[in-house]
Amino acid sequence: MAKYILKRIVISLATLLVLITAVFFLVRLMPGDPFASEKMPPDVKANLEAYYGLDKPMIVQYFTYMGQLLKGNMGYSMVYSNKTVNDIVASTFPYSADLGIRALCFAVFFGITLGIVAALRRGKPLDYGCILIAIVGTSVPDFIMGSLLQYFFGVQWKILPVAQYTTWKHTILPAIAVGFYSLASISRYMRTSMLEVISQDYIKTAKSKGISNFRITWKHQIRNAIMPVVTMMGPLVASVLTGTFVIEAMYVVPGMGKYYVESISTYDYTIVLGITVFYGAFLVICNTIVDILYGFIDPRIKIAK
Amino acid sequence: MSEQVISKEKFAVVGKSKENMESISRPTLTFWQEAWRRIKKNRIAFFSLMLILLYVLLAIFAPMFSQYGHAEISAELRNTLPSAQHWLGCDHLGRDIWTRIWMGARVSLTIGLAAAVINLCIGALIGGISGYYGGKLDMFIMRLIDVLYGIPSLIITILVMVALNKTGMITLIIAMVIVGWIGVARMARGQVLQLKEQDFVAAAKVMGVPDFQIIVKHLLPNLIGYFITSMTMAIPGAIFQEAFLSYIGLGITPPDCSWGVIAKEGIAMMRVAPHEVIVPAFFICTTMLAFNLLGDGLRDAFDPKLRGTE
Amino acid sequence: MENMEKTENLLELNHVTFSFRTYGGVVQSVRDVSFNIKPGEIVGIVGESGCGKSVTSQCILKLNPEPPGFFGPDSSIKYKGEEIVTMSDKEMRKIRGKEIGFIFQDPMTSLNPTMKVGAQIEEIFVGDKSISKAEKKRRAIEILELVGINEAERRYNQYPHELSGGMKQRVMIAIALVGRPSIVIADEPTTSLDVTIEAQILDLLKELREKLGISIILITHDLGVIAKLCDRVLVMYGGKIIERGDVGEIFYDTKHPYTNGLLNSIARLSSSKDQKLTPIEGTPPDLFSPPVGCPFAARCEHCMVICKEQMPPEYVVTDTHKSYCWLMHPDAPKVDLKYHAAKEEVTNG
Repeated sequence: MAKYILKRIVISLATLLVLITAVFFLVRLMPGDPFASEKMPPDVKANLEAYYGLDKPMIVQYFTYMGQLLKGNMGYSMVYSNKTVNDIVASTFPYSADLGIRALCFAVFFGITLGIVAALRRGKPLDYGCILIAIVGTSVPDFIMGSLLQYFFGVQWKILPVAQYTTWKHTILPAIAVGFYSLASISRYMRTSMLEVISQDYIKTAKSKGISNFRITWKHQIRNAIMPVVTMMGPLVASVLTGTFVIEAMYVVPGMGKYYVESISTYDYTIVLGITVFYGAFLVICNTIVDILYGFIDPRIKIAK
Repeated sequence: MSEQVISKEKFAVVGKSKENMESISRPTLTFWQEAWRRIKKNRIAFFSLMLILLYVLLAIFAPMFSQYGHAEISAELRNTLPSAQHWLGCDHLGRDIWTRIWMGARVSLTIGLAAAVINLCIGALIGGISGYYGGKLDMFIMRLIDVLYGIPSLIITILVMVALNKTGMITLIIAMVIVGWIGVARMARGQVLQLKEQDFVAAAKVMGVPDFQIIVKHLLPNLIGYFITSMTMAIPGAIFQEAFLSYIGLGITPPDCSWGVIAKEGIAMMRVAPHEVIVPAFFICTTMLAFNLLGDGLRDAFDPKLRGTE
Repeated sequence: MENMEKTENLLELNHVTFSFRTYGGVVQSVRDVSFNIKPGEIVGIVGESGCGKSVTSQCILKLNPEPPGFFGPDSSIKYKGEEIVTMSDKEMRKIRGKEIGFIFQDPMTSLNPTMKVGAQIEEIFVGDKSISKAEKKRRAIEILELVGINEAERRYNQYPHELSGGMKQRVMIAIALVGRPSIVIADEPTTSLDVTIEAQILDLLKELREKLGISIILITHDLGVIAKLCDRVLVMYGGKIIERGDVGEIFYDTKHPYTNGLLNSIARLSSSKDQKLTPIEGTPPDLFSPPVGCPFAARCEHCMVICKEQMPPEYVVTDTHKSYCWLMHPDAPKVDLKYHAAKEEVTNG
């Protein structure tokens, strides 16, 4: 088990290193210039470039950056004066995290429930209903889902607020918009997994013991079926995160995704770099946690390797 | 026991009947026949296939026969509702939405298909080689994939799009392929590894069948269904990514259009003219739906475990 | 003729027919099977793969999925005089595990991978408030020891993947026994095990019969296993019983060419070196459209015209030995089955 965890951590660290390096050079390859828009004299511009270290060779910049990063310093924004990337992350991430967690809870809870219900009522109308939700959910891109929800619930029927992120009522629509795709994929996966487990030999063993159908379903079927769904959690966090990019802009949530998309268009190198590294590291850590968690849940992994 | 009267001739010995001995009354179908039979029987999958073909045909021909250009601006026609002249109405610049949808379909469908096919080819090749030959090469490729797989693909795609500093179809496809093959390779390796362990491959090896022939005759036929299915499932993902990138302004840029661009413009006009978002939303969703359903159908059709059952 | 014994039959199957609906049509897996089990005896059901023996055994506990499976109209399975075929699921639960235990073929896949061994054994007692938690554990450990598992206390807390194949099968047997059933059905309990483990498991079953006085229904394709363990044998072919009798009668006075074929296809230490093993050519009939007459007719070297037209009736050899073969008809040519195949040269390699 310790070996398994260690292996996961080493892989994650390597992933992080590759990620940061790749992102660093990709960002430096970005066309455009953060100071181009402002009409400034060349010497001021040179000063600024020197200030940000942009006049030094790329490789020096890289090592300077990595050194700073190790100290937890992600640099200054080039567009917003006097704001560090750390400041921006600290002020915007809580909103994104809040939205993400709400979306994730919504997706996991309803996704698993729908998947179980569909599998247990296989071939019945309820199953088809669940399949329909799942299929539609995976077929509607989140920005379309977001705009439709906003239009109908906010604009047309005026049931829920159109935008902003202040009271819990404001969080419902964006959370659904972000989480719906994940909900759909979880429910499909859970349903398939449930149906796979039901044809396993150990279900027949359980049946031969004369225990109730409820117990067979709960203790044997769901317990085993949920296992592979746990592995989905990593990619799920990623999909929720990208969902927040557009949904935050659409619902005017002051989160990190909104900032990110904006800073791409303003060529704010350090922000793009900083937020990408932050996102990337966050996702890699999530994946690692899920992998390790899986090792604890599935007894078979414990001694293997 | 009551003995019936049976004539003595009935007790003439006839012996084993060779011709019936191994007869199987169920009709035997080849792999493709069986798959086709199941697809045809699965009405949803069949309908999805037909819908996709219809969209492809419309994408090819509709713009040719349309009297309007997809970038033709008209001030009077701004935000008009569907009419006999403009079947799906006009957008905020007075452009004919019907024409734009099918011009956009050309871009969106091409990107979806191309990205999925290229990802599959690269991924299957790398994953397949890694799985089949194993050893140090496999170790190396797997470590690489392990590391790359952890990188959030959309973030890299966004950065590649930005770094390439060019919008348009080719750039989009390149950006998607740079990270897209990783998942496919992982999956292909797993499949090959599983198949390789099976006795019929071992048997072929023992008989001295060359590697190339084992791959072509034994592995490929067993993987092809799986690959086709996963490719079908990957297409909506690619279309979705294109729409997403175009939506955040990194994909196709005006005057060119794709479904993502049309949807983005429509969302901005949502309160004034909801049809401008509902129309592209409808086509994006039905296409994704059709590919998803077709993929489901194909998976069942190719699943050897499900062969011969309902 | 079995009237006087009827009262002591634990289990009686009468005209049991079980079929499955599939896209190709209805598969008649079990066709008109009747037999009974007395307390303390070991009855073997033998036959090739796909002859319906597993389905038959699972019918007794109604473990076959229904639908697509369904019983034929005249089917009757009586356990201690109670009809099982019409029982509700709730009533069945009192039979399963408590009255009739079941040992499955593949111990590797028949144990829940995410549940500890002890919990899986104790599960039999779920809902039984008369037994305390400690008592449940005591009985689980006791049964683990009984089936020959060392360090039962430690194994109790382990997961199935931490056990070897033989041990898993012992756990399966423990599960089947812990409810103290009067019958245990063992569906090919040793097929997926090594020969040495197989011998241990068979010895264990025999020992358990002596210790606990349970009846065992042993399903196998291996006549060697039958010879070692069973009192009586049912030979199944094409979903039907084609010969039945005591072990001695079946082995030394075979009356059915199929049974004879099975006997000639196993290797014996006593076989002389030029004695060849004779396989039965061909495969069992497809049960989508079972033949009208004797199911074995197509593969039988003694096949007669009548065999393909009519199912043979029951011929009584002795009180216990019955055969369903037209060769038993007075008008049929006399065939000495005992050594026939052994003498024959194998012509079709």
